[in-house]
Amino acid sequence: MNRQLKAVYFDGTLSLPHQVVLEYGENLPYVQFTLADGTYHQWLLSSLRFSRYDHTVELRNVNLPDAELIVESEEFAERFYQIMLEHSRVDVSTRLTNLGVKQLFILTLALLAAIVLGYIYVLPVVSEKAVDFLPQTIDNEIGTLYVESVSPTWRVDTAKTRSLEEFAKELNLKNRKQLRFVVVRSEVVNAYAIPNGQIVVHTAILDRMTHPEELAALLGHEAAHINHRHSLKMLSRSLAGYMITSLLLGDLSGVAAVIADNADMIQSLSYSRKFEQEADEEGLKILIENQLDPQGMVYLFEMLEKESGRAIPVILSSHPLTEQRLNYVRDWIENSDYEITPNPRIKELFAQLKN
Amino acid sequence: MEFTPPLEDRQPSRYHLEFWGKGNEYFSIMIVNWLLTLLTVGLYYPWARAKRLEYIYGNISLDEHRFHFSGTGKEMFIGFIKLIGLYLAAMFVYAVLRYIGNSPLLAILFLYAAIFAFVPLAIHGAFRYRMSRLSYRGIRFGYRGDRNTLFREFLKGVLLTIVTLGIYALWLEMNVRRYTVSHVRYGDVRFSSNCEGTEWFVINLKGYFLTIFTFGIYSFWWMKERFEYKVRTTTLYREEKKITCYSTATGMDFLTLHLVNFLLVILTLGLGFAWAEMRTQKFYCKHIQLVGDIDTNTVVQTEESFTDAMGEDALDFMDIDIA
Repeated sequence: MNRQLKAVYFDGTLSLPHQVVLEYGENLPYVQFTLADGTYHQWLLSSLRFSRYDHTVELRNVNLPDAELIVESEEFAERFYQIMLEHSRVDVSTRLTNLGVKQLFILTLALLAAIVLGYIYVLPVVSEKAVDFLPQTIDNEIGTLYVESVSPTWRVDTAKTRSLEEFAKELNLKNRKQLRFVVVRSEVVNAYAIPNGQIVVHTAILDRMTHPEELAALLGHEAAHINHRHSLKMLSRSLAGYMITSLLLGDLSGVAAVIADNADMIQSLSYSRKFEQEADEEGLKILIENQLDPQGMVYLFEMLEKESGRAIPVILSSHPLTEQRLNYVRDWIENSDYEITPNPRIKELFAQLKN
Repeated sequence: MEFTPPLEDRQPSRYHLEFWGKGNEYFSIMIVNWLLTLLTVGLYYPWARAKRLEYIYGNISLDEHRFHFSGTGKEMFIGFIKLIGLYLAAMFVYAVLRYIGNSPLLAILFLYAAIFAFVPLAIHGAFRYRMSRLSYRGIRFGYRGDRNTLFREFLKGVLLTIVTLGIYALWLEMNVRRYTVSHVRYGDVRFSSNCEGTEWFVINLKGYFLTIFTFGIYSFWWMKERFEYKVRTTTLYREEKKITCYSTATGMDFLTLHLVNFLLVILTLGLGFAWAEMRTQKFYCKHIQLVGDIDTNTVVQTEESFTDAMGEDALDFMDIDIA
């Protein structure tokens, strides 16, 4: 059944409104109207564009781009929208918009939930996996960049550095790349690994150690961070996280800033709990493999814990020490078989490092 | 819609500008834009922008007839691609100068020159595109400014701004505004602006110091003065007939607008932005008064259509506001 209603027509050459009677119908593939001067218009639905504002509908014809037909009717607005839907003339955006605020709100919340879940569960896995595809040279470059920026402030203890190198040589650290060691004179209780294979140990942390196994545990732990490319994984994760958030907020320019800053991030980046546990476990395995007492790891933790009673050592900000970690190590030792062989060379070198 | 009575029956002296946009509708549009932009990893952005502009312009009415923005996402997408091309080309020249030519100074100078040259071209392009896509009662708007004239004007302004340590920027702003607004057409209706730097300087100097002395409170009255000045220096001409514009917004109105908008956004953790933006649009339309004797029923189509969306996106890219 065809319907008729009043409409206003602008012809696109003059701003004068023409009053017309518009005819349309559910089964009609076009709308039609006749102007006062007798000009007949038949606009195919397939060449129509329409905008709807409440109960005002504006129709335009792609073949007459400036002409417009304006219909003010709630009923028409509804019916015409349905007709256009049936003829697949409504774009996705308009369809979604017409769902209404409530549905959109639910849709948005659902998407946000999906993003948050992805952010928590998928992103770390994918971004860490991505590191496997990156060549080791990236670790080296980032590490070298960092070393270049901080090494001028290092007060290197050459004698102790040599002893530490010797000490490390006595151990099998299961390293996949050449490790370098340096002892830095500093009152800050700290030690850290740089992705290019450099392990930095402060004199203060050496001074507080009582067993050579503690040092072996520390080196094993730091070597594990390098072997498992934990720094790069953390970096990859925070970069990926940054990209997702900036995509959500529509700003990608900050990504460049993150890349530019990455050298500084290495030390401040706190390893995740998972990485710490992985490094602890590796450290323990290294101790056992070298036939050293795995209790060294426990001594190290206990020393750091005592230290944190006074002031929080810097090392704990990048390697957060938790009760859970300590318990994990204790359990691990309890459940493993190991053999201890005294190693006088290590003792001797440890004594040199302590004086 | 009330049918406009035959023109001989009325002598219009006032034109009624109104904004019909509603927060919930605008919110829906923005949410859909956001969803689709997210799902397409940002590619939808130009289409989102087209939807937003279509909604805003489509909800401005003058004497019960709505404006219409017909720009499409595809046009803006192409503009965006061109913009990326320009950016890469500039970066290439920069890199060549910097690393192959080994002259960092020249490279930096080139970058500054490129940016300064780009701004007037972007303003020109944005005006041309935006106006060509805007229509009212089936009659297109258009921008007839000459790119080279604007370019020279801008370059002169930039040099003087540097020489005067920034003060001339206010004259530059008004010169660009006067030039661009005065070259806007609506069919055979001509826009004109007689804004100029000295008055603008006085308004801003006064506004700046009073804002400091009143710990910021005067800023709303400053906004009012700036808005009022831009509005009242704009006139529409058609042969010997004209429409003059003035603003009825008071400083208190601006204060209320911004205070309520601020609360709307803060208390809804940002979700109220859609309602705030609609309130702002409504505010402008409500406070711009148009009085004159141009017959809006007899405007003739004069502007040719053309396509180049680059300026449109460039404006967004360079973050310049043309309002």
